[in-house]
Amino acid sequence: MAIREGGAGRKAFQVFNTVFLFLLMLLCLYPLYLQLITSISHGLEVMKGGIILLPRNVTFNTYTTLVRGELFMYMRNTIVYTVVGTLVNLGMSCLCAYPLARKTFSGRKFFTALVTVTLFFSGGMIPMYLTVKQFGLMDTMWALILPGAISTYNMIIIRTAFQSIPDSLIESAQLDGANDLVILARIVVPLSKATLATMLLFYAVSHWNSYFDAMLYINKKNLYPLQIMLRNMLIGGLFNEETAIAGASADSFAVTDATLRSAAIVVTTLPILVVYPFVQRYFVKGVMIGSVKG
Amino acid sequence: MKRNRFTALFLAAVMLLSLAGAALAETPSTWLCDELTELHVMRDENPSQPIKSDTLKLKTIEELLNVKLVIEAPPKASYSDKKSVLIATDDMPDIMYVDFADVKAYARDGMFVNLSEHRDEMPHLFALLDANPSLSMSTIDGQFYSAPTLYRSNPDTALSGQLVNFRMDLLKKYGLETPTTWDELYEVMKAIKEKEPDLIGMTNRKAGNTTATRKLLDCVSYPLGSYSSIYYDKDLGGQWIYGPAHENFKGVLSYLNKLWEAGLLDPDYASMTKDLWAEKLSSGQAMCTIDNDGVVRNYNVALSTINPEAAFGVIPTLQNALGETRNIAYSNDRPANAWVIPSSCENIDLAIKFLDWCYSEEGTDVNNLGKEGVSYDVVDGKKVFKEEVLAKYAANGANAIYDMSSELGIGLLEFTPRYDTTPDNQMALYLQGSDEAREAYRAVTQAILNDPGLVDNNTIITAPPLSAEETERFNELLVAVENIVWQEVDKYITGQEPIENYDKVIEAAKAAGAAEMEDIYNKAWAAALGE
Repeated sequence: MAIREGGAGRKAFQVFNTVFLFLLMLLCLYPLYLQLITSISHGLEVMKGGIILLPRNVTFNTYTTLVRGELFMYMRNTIVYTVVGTLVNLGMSCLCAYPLARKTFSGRKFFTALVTVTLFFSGGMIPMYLTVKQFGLMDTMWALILPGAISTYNMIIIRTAFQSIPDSLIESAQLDGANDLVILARIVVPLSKATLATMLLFYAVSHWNSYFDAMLYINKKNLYPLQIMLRNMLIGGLFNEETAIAGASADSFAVTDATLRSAAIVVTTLPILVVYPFVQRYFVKGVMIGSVKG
Repeated sequence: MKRNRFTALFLAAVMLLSLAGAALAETPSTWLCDELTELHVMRDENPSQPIKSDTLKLKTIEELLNVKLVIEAPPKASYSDKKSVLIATDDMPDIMYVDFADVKAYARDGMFVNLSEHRDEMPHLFALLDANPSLSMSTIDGQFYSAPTLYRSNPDTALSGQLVNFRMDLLKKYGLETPTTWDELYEVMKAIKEKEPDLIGMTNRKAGNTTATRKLLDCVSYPLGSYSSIYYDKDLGGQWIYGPAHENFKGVLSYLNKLWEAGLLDPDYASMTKDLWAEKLSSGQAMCTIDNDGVVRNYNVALSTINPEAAFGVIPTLQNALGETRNIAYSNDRPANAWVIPSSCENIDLAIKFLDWCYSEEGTDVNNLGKEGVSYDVVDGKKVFKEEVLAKYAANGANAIYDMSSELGIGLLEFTPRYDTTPDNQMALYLQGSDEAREAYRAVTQAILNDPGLVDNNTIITAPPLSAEETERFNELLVAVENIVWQEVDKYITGQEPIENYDKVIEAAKAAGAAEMEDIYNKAWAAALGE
């Protein structure tokens, strides 16, 4: 109310602010919008250039090309890896974070130090590959899930969140006869929902975007995640020069590298963008808890 | 007892019968092994041509050789990472597709089987290698550790290269003669520019990791009498030369400067991208580009939607100011892409026999055409794809050749150590629709094939075999020299510096090691030829 009752200067500021923020929003949204209209424009029009505001000669062939390339199979794999992977991540991270958060845990400092070391040092790609191979994980989805089951950084944030729960709460639960697993499941986890939701997002996005592990550990095509296929289309290019042939008709240019690239960006970004707003309310709160009390 | 005797008799009869059966079902002579054996090969998968596991080719190989070929195909974009890890962990498949650079890096460590030691078991491969002395450049200390990807010429052979692509409709429109020299090209572009001032004369693109300027010079400097890197100059007495550190390079720069001054060179030439290049060509903004003619021809489709007359065509190799008529054609042999058998392979004998079979006529037929009577027929001694096979995929337009190759498992983008371009060429001809268009298409490919100015790029830029120390020294010098040259070039093209001053760049490049680089190459070249 105070704002409305303010003077002309205030009003001018409001107008300016709204316009400015609106322009800022356009600036953020436009690149995404441009990808969208490029992906549904005819390849020849994109080749000729000049698509700025509206799509031209709309066609959905780009998306059918993506689908023809067994998009759904890759999509399904990615969803399975993301869901299973994130659940394993959260489960393992909580199980690791809980004892480290308890002051009564003997050797806590030693184990914390041990875990922290992995933040700074890792075995490297080749030893990792050999380990995965010797465990017989090659060509299974577990090769993508188990080696990175715990992200130390995320686990430490969860530990910090767990530490902020008053000891008295846990003590009273112990008096009621609860063991550690019950305390973790019934008290600690429900009280840390905000942090866990944030970690869920972190873990899920990293699974969704990852391609490198799959490239290393998976040789079977039917186990590839979506990102491998899309990365190949983006970097490898659809039409290659080695065997470029003449004599094609205009229809065959409905889909070109440029439109396919845009469609791939839309397909990969959209699902995560859709999930984001639902988790966002936890997001801000969650990261704050982790950081302030660190 | 009676029953026992009967059983014994019966068993004896069965034994006799099965022995007879075994003798009758003799191993077919084409089989490479008695038991069906799996061979794992790995190559990268190009996104346009997915590699499938149930193709006609794989079935034919299994029938003929009793070998079950399993192709592992990591995506092209991730292939080099994957390859490095497999080499580093010595966890390679039976046959692997590598760059010759990998062979150089690892062969001396004994990672790959020395094929030269198995010369007698690989008659087909070595017959081809011996027939072409320039392939000795693919040896390491005189030994072949890899089998290069080779080409089998065929009646439909076509040639491609960084050729002069020009808007032929503009020549016709203004009644201009097709240029035969670089100076005439300049005059023609100038004449068109007077009529249509908005048109760009010559445009270019960026490719790979190089800059757009570098790509432009990669395309124009050889025909203009020099080259943008180290190359073998047959017109300068046959020697290796680092182009930018030589007098002739001034001619290249001053030609580009002449275009620049007349407003004929693309004003964005130094910052072009491939997309921008495609846009300029397909929207009719440019007269000319020196580049891959196959790619440029693709933009004719978009161009014809604006103006049905407009089209890029190839101008035969032009004569430069030194009186040379020369340009680089892409080599059909691809020694840079090679196939190796890792030393850790468990079935080296079979891998060797199989790899050699791929270089035989039969193997080349199966790898490129599929199976006779199923995918192709032999008509008057010529191998021709069945019309119904071509028709089935032709509906997919630009993707036709990829779809056909993917489904049949054939062609250069598959596991094909020796390839021929029959599928590509017959599909391209088929797509022309009418006999008239086919004749026109054939005329174009024939004209390029018969262009006397075109030189195989393997004879110009394929490095002679260097020792490990030579390679290291050369690369060290190359970095130093290129740092000097490539920051100067734009100044001379745009006329910020007069061309006489380029002598200073030549001096600096020579001082930084250009002469030593040439020396390393010339010595290695002489040594390779001497052997």
